[in-house]
Amino acid sequence: MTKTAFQEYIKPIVVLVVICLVVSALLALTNALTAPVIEKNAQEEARRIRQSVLPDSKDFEEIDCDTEALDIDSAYRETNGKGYVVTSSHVGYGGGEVTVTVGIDNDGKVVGISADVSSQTKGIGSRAGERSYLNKYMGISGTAEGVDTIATATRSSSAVRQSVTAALNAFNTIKGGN
Amino acid sequence: MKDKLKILLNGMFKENPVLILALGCCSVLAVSVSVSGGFGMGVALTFVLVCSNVVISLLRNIIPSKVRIPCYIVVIATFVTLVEMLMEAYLKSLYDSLGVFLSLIVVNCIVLGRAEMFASKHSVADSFFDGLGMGIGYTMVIVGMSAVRELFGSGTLLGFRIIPEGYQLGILTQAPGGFFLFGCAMAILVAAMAKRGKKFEPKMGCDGNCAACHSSCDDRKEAEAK
Repeated sequence: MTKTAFQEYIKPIVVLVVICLVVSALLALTNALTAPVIEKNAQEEARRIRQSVLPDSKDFEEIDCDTEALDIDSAYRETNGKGYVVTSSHVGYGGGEVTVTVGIDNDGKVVGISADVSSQTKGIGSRAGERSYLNKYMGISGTAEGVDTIATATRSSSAVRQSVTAALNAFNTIKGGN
Repeated sequence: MKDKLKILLNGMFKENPVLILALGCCSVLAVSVSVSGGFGMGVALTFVLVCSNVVISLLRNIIPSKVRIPCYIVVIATFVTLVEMLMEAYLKSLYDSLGVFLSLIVVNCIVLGRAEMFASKHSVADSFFDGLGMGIGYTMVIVGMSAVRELFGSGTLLGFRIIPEGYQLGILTQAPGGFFLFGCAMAILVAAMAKRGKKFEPKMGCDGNCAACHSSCDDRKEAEAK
């Protein structure tokens, strides 16, 4: 039995197209169901990090500012006036971004810091996200340029330092504008 | 029912995907550093394997052989994306610990291999049990390896400290330790099977397993012509 032109050329295309259409519809449906949950989780996580870097903080309101010019991702004010939380990302080693969230009290002092270094090399660059290093930023104000980077993890720790400096600068700008 | 059980056990021991067929090794080596991560990976893979086996078996008479590989990949990728979205929404910590290896199930050779070798030629029920058996086989290996690596490499088990700090074999958590253990596990399974009188014949050459072979031979041309 010889195959007809339909079986030879048309059928494979039709079958593949139909399969693709069906699975696209299925995935669109699942995405519609899970996207709000994922979004909510991300917001919860961000709120948890903000609370962890600013002692006794509860709720936050986002500050409307020119994040691009300030070189930050976002800035929040604690609703009861406990202080500010600024998040900033800078490129570390290998093109991966290091995201740092800094809690700043009303006097402009760093009171808490958290860093996401998951994009950096485990065991080497990731040391820039460890407590023992991050604690060096506690209590500083104005600029973070005085804090040393980690030898052998220069780029990862520089990214942290840049982010803290950007956060402190942003604080001064926002505070000055008030 | 007996033949179904045989298919199930086949995937767990005689044709264990990881230790005997040596498929899907990269994810086993990479994810088997913690028991919770390894178990999560095993469950995710089993789910994808069972679902894709069933769907591919259902479609086996519809899919033209010319476009079968793209069809398989689309079906497999769909289930992986489903798992990924559901896991990110409801099991965020597991999602974070699996990282890129979750998406890489799409190109895990076990899934594609079973689609090509088994599901495309057998009934839906048989394919279901094959997927389940292979998935359990994979999960057993990855959980077993994770337990050893986590206990002796990090001194913890499921996150609880068992061995005090400072008495760990750090190399076990690294890639070379994974390879050592992988070799040992293979040897143990082969030795156990030899003891039970089952001669072990490594199927490295061609045994009609075209999915694991990249060359084109007369047999293959004949099989594709059919």
